[in-house]
Amino acid sequence: MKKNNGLLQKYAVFAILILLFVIFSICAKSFLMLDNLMNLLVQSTILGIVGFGLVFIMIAGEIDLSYAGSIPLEGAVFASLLANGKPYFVALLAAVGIGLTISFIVSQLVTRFKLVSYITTIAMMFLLQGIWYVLTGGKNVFLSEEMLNREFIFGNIGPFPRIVLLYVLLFVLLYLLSEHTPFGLRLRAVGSDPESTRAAGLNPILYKTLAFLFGGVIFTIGAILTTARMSGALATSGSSLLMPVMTVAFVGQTFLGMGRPNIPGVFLASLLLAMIDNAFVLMQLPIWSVPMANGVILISAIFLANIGKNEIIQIKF
Amino acid sequence: MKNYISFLSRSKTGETKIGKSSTNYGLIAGIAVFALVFIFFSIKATGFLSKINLVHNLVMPAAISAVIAMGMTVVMAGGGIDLSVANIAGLAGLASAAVSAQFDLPVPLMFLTALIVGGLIGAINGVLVAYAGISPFVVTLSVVYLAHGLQYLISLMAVSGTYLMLPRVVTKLGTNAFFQIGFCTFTFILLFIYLDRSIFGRYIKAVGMNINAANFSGIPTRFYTWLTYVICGVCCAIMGIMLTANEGLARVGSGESYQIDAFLLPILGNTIFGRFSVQGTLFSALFIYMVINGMFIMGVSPEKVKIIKGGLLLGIILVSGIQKVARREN
Repeated sequence: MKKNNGLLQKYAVFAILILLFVIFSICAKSFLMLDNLMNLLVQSTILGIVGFGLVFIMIAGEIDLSYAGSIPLEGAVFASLLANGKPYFVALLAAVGIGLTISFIVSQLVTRFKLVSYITTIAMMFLLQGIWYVLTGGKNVFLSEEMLNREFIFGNIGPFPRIVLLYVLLFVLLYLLSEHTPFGLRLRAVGSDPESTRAAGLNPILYKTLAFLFGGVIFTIGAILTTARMSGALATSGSSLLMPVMTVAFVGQTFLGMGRPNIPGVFLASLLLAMIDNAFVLMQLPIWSVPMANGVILISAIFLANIGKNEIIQIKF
Repeated sequence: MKNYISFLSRSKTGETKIGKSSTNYGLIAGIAVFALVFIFFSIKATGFLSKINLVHNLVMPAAISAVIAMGMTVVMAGGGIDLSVANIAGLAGLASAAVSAQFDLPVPLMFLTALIVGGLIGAINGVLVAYAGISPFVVTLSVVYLAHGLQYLISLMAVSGTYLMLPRVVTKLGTNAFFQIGFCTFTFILLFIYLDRSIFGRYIKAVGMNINAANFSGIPTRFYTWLTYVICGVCCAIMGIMLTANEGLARVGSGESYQIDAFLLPILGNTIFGRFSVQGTLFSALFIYMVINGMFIMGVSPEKVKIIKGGLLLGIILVSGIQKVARREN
């Protein structure tokens, strides 16, 4: 099933990115200022990192939507531990531990019990949201500057905030891992056809489990960064991430004609979304228009990428 | 018409398991558990058996939740999914309240507006899924945010701020248990006839089970897939009316707490009854709300309810996954 690699598919979304950049530069004053562009990069960072996690799992052929539940939970645990005076190391370990546990459970449910990952991870998301609610009582946990050592993360090296450099580093590492290593190749093989991969001698259960665990760790990194950025664990950090991260993962598929989940696509797509978010605020458009724009972009991108394929996609329960 | 709807034919579409006995152990187990839990709460939870509790705190909330879940059941029976149900309900309720406040519409027209809004959004969902071939997941997730944004837009444009007052008739009806249960029963009867006793329902179930076979049989699969989303949209609108009337005012984001129910109830019904059916969904609604009601009386805090529902959903999916693996190995 070869994807239609016509010019439209390949460069449509890329062209939209550039076009919107130009339009926003004209329509929104101070869009092109260095400060604003740096801010844009920072905004795209967390979105992109969580997107990397999701895409990693998608490369292996599954999907994991529980991040909307696990990120607030990990953030709350991380923040509460720090607020109670525990060292950084302990809080980090706890957050990563939770993330790994959740991912491991999900991976086993999907690989050994053959559950459909969409529904299972949605159920897991609800469960985690419930657990979060019981643990925090619905309240946000705030941290002070000293406890968080924000400078460490948000200080600048040169003109760039450190978080952006971390993001770029992660991008390069994950890109090399997914596109240029045997591990990445096998992951993609498992993603496109688990049965023939098994016939070829690889163990799809192993690779899918690794993908989930890896993705889970990346989600945890995102959770810690978003807690650091907001100076505390917020109630809305999960639900506000659900849609945009899915958007960047799916829209990223269509970048550069890849037609499959890929890391560079997520990088570009998160820039696109952050750009829209940024410009909408600068142009003083109402807040609720941003999610609507996200929705429109998601549908348009998928639509453009799927022109000509036209089969009804079904969900098996 | 009689050829299309047959009350007497007990067509068990969807239950045919070749080579397996026809006794539905899941159903027997389900009814047994229901009875046991009911008896447990009757003994342990004081006040559980009172008429007020049973009608107002158990059946009425279950009725509201069941309507939105029944809409989702139709979509799931057709092999799709609709994440936007809760938001369609909220939008329908809000839009109809805003329109009727703006134009001073009589109550029946207000209800009609809601149904039209729900049907329209369902139609959009359906077109994108059935005719554009986009994954229902992506489509309906986008519609979640579009509908949410529209709710904000309406509330900004409406006359009196974020909370819209409703006509007194509607608020009085909303707390009236007979109204709510009546609406639910009415929807149930319609959907039951449609899904389980008519040929249109069989087409939908055929599409859900094996779309290629359905195509080759000459069933217009795109149309019927589209239709499931429209029906779901209308059901969400009905629920939106019920919910808005019950809450007494129209607000942004009403209905969002019912999103889990819309998933949980059809899947629970599927696991117990063996297929997606509105009777299964209704049964599950009564069961879940009985559990929540009983636990609430016994003092379990409301926050834990979400954990219970999420854990239950996960458990149910696990059980049905095991069932599937067992069936395959037979």
